[in-house]
Amino acid sequence: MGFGRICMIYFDNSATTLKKPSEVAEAVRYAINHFGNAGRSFYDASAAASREIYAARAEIAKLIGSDEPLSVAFTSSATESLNLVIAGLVRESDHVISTVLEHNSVLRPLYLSGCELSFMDCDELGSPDIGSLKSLINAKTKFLVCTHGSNVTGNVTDVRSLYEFCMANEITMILDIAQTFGSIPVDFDTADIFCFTGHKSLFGPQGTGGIITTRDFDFDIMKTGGAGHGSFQHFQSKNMPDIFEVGTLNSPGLYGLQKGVRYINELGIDKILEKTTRLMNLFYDGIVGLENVKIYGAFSESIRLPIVSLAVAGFTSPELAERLYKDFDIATRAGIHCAPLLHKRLDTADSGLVRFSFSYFNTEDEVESGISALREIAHG
Amino acid sequence: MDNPSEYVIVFSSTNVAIKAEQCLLEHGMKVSVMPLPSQIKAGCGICLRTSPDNISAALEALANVQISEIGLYARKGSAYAKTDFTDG
Repeated sequence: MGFGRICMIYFDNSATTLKKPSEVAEAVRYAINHFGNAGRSFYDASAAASREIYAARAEIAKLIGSDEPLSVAFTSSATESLNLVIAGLVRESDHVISTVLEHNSVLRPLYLSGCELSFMDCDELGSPDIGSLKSLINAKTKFLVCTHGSNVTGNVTDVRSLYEFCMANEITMILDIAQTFGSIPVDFDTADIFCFTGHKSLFGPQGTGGIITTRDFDFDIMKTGGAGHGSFQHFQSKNMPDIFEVGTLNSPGLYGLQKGVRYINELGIDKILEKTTRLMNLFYDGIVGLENVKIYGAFSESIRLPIVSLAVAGFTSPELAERLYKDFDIATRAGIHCAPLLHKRLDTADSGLVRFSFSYFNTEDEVESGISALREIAHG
Repeated sequence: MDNPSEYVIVFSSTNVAIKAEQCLLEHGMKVSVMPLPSQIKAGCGICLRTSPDNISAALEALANVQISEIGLYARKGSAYAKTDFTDG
């Protein structure tokens, strides 16, 4: 099979983590060979799939601090989760607040809903202006939908303050934790609904994601079909997690995800954060101040995602990313990162940025190689 | 009158059934997953079977994890009778 070079230095972990705990792939392989259809029957192969998917819910609930595994519903991605939640709750007559930091997985479902939208602005470092929230609400404001951490700058939003404001004003807060869940602590008491992906910092396979609810919501039914129960009823159950799970679940993927999240739970999120922050700081310190290099983001904050996005004078972001890959075997992400409003705000919409994003499985040697490469390119 | 040979606990969904099974196993109870008997018209496609010795503790354990929307059936011979369990 010709997949090209895969022995590279991989700094695109915010897109997907490429190196995962070995038990993740082992679980996927095991499930493909041994699992029946989850939730459909009593015999061992089917029941095993059901039990391991339940165990995946339990691991995810544990990581976020929930004591109810059935508050976790599985989808194919954070994008699907956000689509389902937004389309299932937001009405055309609602006013919704979001931020200019958002990924298109938040923006496009909101645009599609037809709701009235207001956006919280950010400063030149990409940090949201939380103080402006009060001025954005009106009598029709029902929801705040926002990211926990920017996939462009790596800045982490103070969601606890946002949620306190939402609770005081009867606004439902929907939090996109695609970048943060598994990277930094995410607390169950900082939003009403969480949308996550499995394949980034949770170390699960691609094609896994989900929704975590903190209480009952009256979601519109967005998908319907076979669920293994209620066969004579015309409509899908509205209970969690059934309302979002129809048809055969991705049990190989979810068994792999369970192993990825268990790895994090056993290791401890603080240990992951400590290492990825150390790698990010090593990289940042190695390139900050370099002539021709401009770094974006707030690096003096106490907590941030392990992301360093930058531009090098004389290069568009695709040119820089290609040079890094062709000459130095370094994989990064160029472009707009599906975050159009933030790139406009940072005045980087024309050339984009190159994003270096680190994982627990990167090494200091790899980071040193990245620093050397960037110094060589920047000095021409 | 004959005592039940076993109890069958029926749930609103397969997800709740699996949660209940895990709960009872964690409490060290003997329980097994079985297909919903065709005589029982309510509930999801799988249910849990347990012995009369276990049923009181099983229901208490399930109530403690907020699994209350269940149906309880006592098996006598090939018949299943809906019942509200009382240990007296």
